[in-house]
Amino acid sequence: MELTAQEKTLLDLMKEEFGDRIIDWLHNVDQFSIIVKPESIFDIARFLKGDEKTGFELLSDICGVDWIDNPDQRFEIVYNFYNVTSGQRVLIRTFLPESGKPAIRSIQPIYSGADWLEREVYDMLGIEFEGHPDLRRILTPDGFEGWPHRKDFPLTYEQPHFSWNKDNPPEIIK
Amino acid sequence: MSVASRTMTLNMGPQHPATHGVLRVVLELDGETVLKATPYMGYLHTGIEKTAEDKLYYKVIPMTDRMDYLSPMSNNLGFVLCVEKLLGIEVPEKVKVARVLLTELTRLNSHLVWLGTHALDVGAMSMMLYTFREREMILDIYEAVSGQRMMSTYFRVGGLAYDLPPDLDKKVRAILKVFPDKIKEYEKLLSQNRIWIKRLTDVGNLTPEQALDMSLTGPVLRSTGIKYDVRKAHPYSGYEKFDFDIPVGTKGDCYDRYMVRLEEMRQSLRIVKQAMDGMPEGPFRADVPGVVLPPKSKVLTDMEAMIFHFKIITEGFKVPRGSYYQPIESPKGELGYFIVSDGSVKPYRMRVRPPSLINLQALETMVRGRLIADVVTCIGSIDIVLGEVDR
Repeated sequence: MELTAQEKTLLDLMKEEFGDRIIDWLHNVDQFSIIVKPESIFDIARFLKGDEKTGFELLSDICGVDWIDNPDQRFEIVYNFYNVTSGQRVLIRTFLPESGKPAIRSIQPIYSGADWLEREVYDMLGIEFEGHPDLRRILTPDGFEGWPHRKDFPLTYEQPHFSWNKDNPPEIIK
Repeated sequence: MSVASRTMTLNMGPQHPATHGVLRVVLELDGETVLKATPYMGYLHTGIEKTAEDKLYYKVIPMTDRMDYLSPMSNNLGFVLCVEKLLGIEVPEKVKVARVLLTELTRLNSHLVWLGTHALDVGAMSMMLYTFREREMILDIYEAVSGQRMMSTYFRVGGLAYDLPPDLDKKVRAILKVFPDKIKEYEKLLSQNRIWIKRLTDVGNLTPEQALDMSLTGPVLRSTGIKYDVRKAHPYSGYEKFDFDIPVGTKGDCYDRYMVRLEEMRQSLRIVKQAMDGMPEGPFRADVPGVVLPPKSKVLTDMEAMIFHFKIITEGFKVPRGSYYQPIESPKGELGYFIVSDGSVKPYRMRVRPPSLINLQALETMVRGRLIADVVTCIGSIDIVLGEVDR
């Protein structure tokens, strides 16, 4: 599928600014995504919001995906930026490896709306957002162990210390 | 001599009638002034996104109802549109119009509950009785089309669950007849009411820059003057054919949000009228063998149709590899479904962009430096549903 003029302009602008930190672009069901290196996400977010030529003022969403079969690119984070004036939407995708502690720089200082979105990704997938002012679990209770949205987290499982059968923990069904 | 300043920490909720469910807000107070408000949520977290990964596509639809339980049809719509986009299905014209009709009624439904509970929080007790009386008419329509009053689960991938009932026209016309007067009645009770104005004006002000920065959408964003509505910006389900306006506010305070929602109800009525007038005849499901259930009459006579029927129910249908983000304008704001498919019969990942959760982020900014009573007003005017905040 061909790039539209609007998308081409954006891609050229980003390539000019970031060079080889832009890995690839793709069209997924006519939706435009750019794949970038994880270490550049902060600069890209600042560029997307601050630059007059881009002006993506609204951070729509941050979503984490666990690709368990691919350890080198296990965690995909999809940032969803939207330009209210021109109506353009762009998904910025980045991949984190499984090894070590998956971590990426927080974009909360740029988009304050990223605060709870990043907390949710942290809560569900265990990805650390460096520089986030208040990285706590958001939806699961205090003392919860494990990262529920990872594919190796069992679907039916009761945390022993929340359970009535604390002394005789239930068998984990995978 | 100096006086030591002492602050008090007050725990509001999770069991507090004015938090609209199980929201807990920890307030740091200096006298009656709020210095800091920290919301805690997750009391209703049921892991819908995780559960969806283990369900066939059509089995996810009932779960989406239970997120924003005041607007089940909007939730269904976002999901089915996203899956249809991934599958590349085009639905018949009648389905599109019926979906618009029902989601606009849903907007009315949601705004009515919001108005009733918000007024109740602020102290206008009787509003709730009026709005719930009118809401009954909309719930009757839900019941007529789907058999359920609340969790309708009416939309399907590629169409609707059943055909529209023959008496739908009569029921919708009844709504169109009484509602304009009812909205006038609400306005008469509230808009010029001195207490209402005092409690809402210049409370919880937001600037457009702040609103965008915090990713707010829906009436909360529009009350600051930014005209972003997914129905106009990226029309889905045939919204481009309908004639309606997007109301915007100027100051971004609670009163503006009230006015925006009230006007949205009028605009919804306009859309409902156009949809009902222009309701085309035709099938209520797309004809896509292996994905959309065949008509029942065919199942009983045609071997192939019967096999498909059986296969869809037992095995589900495969969705091509890919991912798509589908935003819709739910009554609360931009409701987005991001579905990642790995080519199997179940979603690999389903992400819901919950407008309630993201709009709730603004609470802290709204209430800082204001009185406790304003916290209640602000929570009400954001219009949250905890089922959607926590999912």
